[in-house]
Amino acid sequence: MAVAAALVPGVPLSAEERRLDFADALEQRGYHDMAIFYLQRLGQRSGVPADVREVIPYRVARALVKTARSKRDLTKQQQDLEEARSRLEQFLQQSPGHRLAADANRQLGEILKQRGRMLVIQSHLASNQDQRPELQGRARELLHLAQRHYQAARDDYAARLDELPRRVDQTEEKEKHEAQTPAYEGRIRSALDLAGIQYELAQTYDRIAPKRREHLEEAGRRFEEIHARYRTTMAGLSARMWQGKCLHELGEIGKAIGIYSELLDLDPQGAASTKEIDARTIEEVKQLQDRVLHFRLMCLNDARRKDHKLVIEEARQWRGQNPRLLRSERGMGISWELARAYEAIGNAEGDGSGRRERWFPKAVAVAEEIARYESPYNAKAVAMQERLTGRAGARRDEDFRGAMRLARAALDRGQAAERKGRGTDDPSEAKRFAQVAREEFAEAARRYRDAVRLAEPETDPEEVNQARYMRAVANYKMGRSYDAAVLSAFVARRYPQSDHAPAAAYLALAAHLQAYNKSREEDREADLQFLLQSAELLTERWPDSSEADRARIALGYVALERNDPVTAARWYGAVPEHSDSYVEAQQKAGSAYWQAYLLAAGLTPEDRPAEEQLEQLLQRAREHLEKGITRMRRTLGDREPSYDLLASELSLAQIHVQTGDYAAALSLLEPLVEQVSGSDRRDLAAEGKFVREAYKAALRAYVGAGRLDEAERAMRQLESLETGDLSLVGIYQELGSELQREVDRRRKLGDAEGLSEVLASFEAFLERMLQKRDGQTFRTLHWIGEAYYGMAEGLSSSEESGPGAERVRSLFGSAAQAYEEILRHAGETPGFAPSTAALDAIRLRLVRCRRGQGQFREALELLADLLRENARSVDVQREGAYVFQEWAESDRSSWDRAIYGGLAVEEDSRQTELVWGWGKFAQMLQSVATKDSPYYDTWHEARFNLAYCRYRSALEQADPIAQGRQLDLAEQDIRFTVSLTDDQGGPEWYKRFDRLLRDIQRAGNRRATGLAGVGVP
Amino acid sequence: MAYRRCSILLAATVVVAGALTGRADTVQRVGDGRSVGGTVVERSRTVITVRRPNERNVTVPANEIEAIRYDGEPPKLNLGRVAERRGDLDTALRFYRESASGTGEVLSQPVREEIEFYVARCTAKLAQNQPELLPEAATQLERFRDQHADSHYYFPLHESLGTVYAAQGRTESARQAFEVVRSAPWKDSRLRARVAEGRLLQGEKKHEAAVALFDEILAEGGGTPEAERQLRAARLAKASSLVGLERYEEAEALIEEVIDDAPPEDSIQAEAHNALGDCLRAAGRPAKEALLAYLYVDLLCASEREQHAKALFYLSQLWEDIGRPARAEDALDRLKAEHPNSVWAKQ
Repeated sequence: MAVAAALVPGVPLSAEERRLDFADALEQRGYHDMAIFYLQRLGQRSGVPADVREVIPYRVARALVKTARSKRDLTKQQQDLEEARSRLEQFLQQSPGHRLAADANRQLGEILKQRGRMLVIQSHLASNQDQRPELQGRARELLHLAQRHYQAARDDYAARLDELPRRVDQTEEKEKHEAQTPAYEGRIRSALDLAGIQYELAQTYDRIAPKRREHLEEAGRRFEEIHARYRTTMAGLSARMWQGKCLHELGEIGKAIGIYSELLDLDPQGAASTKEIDARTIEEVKQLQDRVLHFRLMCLNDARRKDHKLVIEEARQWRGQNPRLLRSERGMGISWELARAYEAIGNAEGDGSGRRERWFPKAVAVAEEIARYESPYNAKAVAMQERLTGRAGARRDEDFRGAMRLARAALDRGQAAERKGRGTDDPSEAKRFAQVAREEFAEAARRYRDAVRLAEPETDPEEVNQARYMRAVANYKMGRSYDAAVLSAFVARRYPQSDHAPAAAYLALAAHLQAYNKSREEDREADLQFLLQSAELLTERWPDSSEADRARIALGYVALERNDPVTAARWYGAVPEHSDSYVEAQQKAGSAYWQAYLLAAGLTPEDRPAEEQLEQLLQRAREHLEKGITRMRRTLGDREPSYDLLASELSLAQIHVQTGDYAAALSLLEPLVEQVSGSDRRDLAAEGKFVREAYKAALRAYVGAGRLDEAERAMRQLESLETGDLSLVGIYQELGSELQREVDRRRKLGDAEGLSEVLASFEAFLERMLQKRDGQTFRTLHWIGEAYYGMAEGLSSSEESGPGAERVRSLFGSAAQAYEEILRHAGETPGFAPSTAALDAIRLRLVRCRRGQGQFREALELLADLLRENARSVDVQREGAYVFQEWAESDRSSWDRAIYGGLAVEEDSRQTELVWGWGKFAQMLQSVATKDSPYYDTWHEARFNLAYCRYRSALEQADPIAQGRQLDLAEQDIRFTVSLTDDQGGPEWYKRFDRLLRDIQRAGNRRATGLAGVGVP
Repeated sequence: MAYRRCSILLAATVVVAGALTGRADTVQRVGDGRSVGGTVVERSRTVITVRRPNERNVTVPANEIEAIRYDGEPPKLNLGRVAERRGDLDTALRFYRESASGTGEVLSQPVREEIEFYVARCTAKLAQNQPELLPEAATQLERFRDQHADSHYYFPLHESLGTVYAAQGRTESARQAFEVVRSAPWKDSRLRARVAEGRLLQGEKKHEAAVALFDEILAEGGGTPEAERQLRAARLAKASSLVGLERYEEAEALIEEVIDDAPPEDSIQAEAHNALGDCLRAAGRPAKEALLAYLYVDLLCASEREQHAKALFYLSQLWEDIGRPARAEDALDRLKAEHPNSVWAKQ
């Protein structure tokens, strides 16, 4: 029996004890082996003070006693205790008058008690049935010897106390008080030891033996006495607990539970009756209460009580509240009672009831948990696992190989479930398979972890590394990215010579990539750094491995994700020529450079790189693609071109189209289109868009080259590919947007000649298509409308007046003509349009065209119809606000309508504005415009335009006071907007808000500090 | 260039607007130094002048200033200082930011300046463990440097800036920043700067040069408690270079010297024990010996968060080496739970 370690608080440390702080800390953590190692080294070091050196045998012995407790192997336990005993005897012999001599006697008593206990345990083994009385007799002898040492300790403490004055003034005679306190404390402790020995002696008799009862009664009486005398100390509370234990073993379960309840009800913080319990002992009281709970659960599990469900409830509650204590001895004790309760309920269910399946696995799971760590319960826990294996359907991994087999099987089952999940169209089935896969992967991860633990010294280290690596794989499959990353990085960094190391390093990278993809935008930076570190490890240590190439490609992907195509291209370009991934990497590098070119070309003149740099990007894009194509063509022979080859050719053709080299584009596209048309190649089908993109590029190239017949044919072929009108609508919108981007890019680059060519060629083609009276379909007209619309939008931002503006208005007009044609046909021919929604989108486009033409009244009429049908449509309301805004721009009046709304109608006898205006529009969006919502950008757009309209309105004011007020309002709008988000809507909006604020400040004759001046960095 | 411009302004002082209006500011000194109450009337890079209620002026050297609590500052500001002192940097930063924006009142220039510095310093400290914050920390510190060239935080600011640059691998910029710190009129600041410069050399693997520099520093001797502390830091840093030169026995002896010499509660004990663990590992000594060194940090210096994370990382490896996988796993679990953002947790 062990009593609470500290009986009274606040004993100041002596000089040598301070030096031994570290040994104490090691012991407190349960690292007794390391404490012994440390103390032994300390003993060998020179310069250690004599007073420290003197206590080392005592301290080593104390740690040996503790380490013995945690050993499963009884022989090793005995060896440790024997060594401890010899060290203590050495200490007592060398320093009989040392102040720790009494403690040494207690420790000796403790060792003898432990040895006695072990004999008691042995006497209970079935194999020792015949020797039982002898073992019990030897145990008693040892316990009596222990009793003598405890008594010696008690006498020593008492003698020291007698040497001191009865009452010590704590402030006047500090030294005496300090000496008295440990002696006082030791005397109480010895009293507990002596009572405890009676309890242990009881255990040396059979349950029905009268002597057992006598000793238990004697122990109970002594504990009661101690409690009565020291009830306000930790010793008193501890004695009370052991009194309860004695009562339990005497069969007085009710009384025992009563005592436990009394102790559990004790509030450590507010226990006025326990005056010595202060803040420093709260933790000790908590520890005692945990132990009391353990004893209480033992009572509840007792065959005479059988309150197993209550055990489950209380143990689970404790475990939930104390996750960090689960591995402590008291935590293990409570868990052990929980496992016993599960088993007992399972047993009570009876064979064949089927309900055991519910309880035994739970018991086995808890027992497995206990068996994992050192404690007095792990031997019992292992026995429980063995007992319930098979009965619970539970498996047991007895050795490394067994655990590996079970792990592999679980992993295979998980992967099979994953495959099934991918193969089903039923979402609920897919979900079920995903759940099964997750559970199996979790099982696999557990089994691999067990395998590592079960590895013997002679196990092949490569196999152990395989287990570590596979554990990481299972974690990765479960989506536990960081666990997978840490585990795999461990293999890669610690065992770089292992065959598994490169794969592990790659897995670490993949896991960080998984984490990166799952993280929120603002949390991604850390993941990226780790990802880069993993990549660095791979590319530096195994530069020629396929894993390093995959790492380069993964990093390229990440860079693209981060809108950094140049870095992406560099990563792709770093894949060496001998690599299997070379061709794929070249194609990706080319596309990334092309993307970089498009991004750079779209920048404002001040941000845009010099023309030579742009040309260089273009050149590199072409070079990488051509390199890949040449390499593939060279090795192609008679075989069918691979997907990578076709994709590279298509990318290169797209670049030619965009740069106006239509002939070069068609030289690649014509054979390619022929190759893929009517092809049933699965790889192309899997890529979905590939064939479509090829036709789109061909269409663009034919239009650009002025080969309008072929262009029309390509358009028809494109239409024939799609089965639904709606998907074709999507393609035409894409085509329109691409055209818009191209026009915009050429305009920004000042490529007047190229721009003019594109516009002219398209206008010619579209005009030809629009004038066809026969065979007009929704698709064709929609394509024409979108193409005109795209060109108009592309030109509109820079052409606000002059002949360019006229051209924009004309393009909007042509688009409007196509859209009106659609609406007319739809009115005449039911089923002409694929859906009402598609028609609504056309009507909205028509509004935009009317706005672009400066026909604001017509735009409003169309809008009114749309808003009457759905006043809360975000797209329609935004368009409404823009109509008013541009109207105000054109005639320099009516800014209020853009701000506060217009188009009044009567609704429920109240006048209301159909178009909300930017103010109400922004207000309506605010609650839904969270960062990850699609409205986040729209809300910033609305808030920006609100401030902009106020600013413009201010400029129109003749009265300086009114003007100042409007400018203040505009500034407040911006301040409010930027205060609500931490990114101000992103870099683009930041720039726009900043610029507008500076304009506002300048208009108010103030210093133009922009956002930085209002505290936004 | 920016450094040259700043040094020309060295002698300049700022007369605090709103002085002599009966405010009660408090200048808190570092350590147990007594606070000085009154009205801050003048501030410069090296000294703060406080007008006491008896109308007499008292000057406080800038290197003795822990913080200035201005009359009417937002209450959360001090909560931030307390949190920063106990190492809870995330909370500190939150309080600082709320102080800057949450009161609805217009803050005086000196209060704004204090807050700006705290935010920059706190971000810089956080960035040591979260490299993704380094650019932000550098920007904040640079902005403070440019906008408050005569702040009494001028030298500490450059120290933080140097540390951030060093972590970013911008060695030359870091060197320039430490050079500024070296121009401070106090010995402890100069020593700190020189130790930091030695560490830069270590980062460049110039161990011979670093050892020579550390020897020069050690020859200077201490004098004040802070200077003594810097000398101990220099000895530890020198030991690290000796490990780099594979002179393990000398390194170990030097570290043991620091361990014996430094007060047991001094935060340098954590760094010293980790350095000892590193040295023993590098020397190929039995794993248990290094384990003990790292365990010391785990058990007795867990409040030194960065060092604790490092110790747990190596413990997880060394436990495995001596066949204690459960303890290895425990160390790894605690590393992930207690220091989730640490660079050691995701190695």
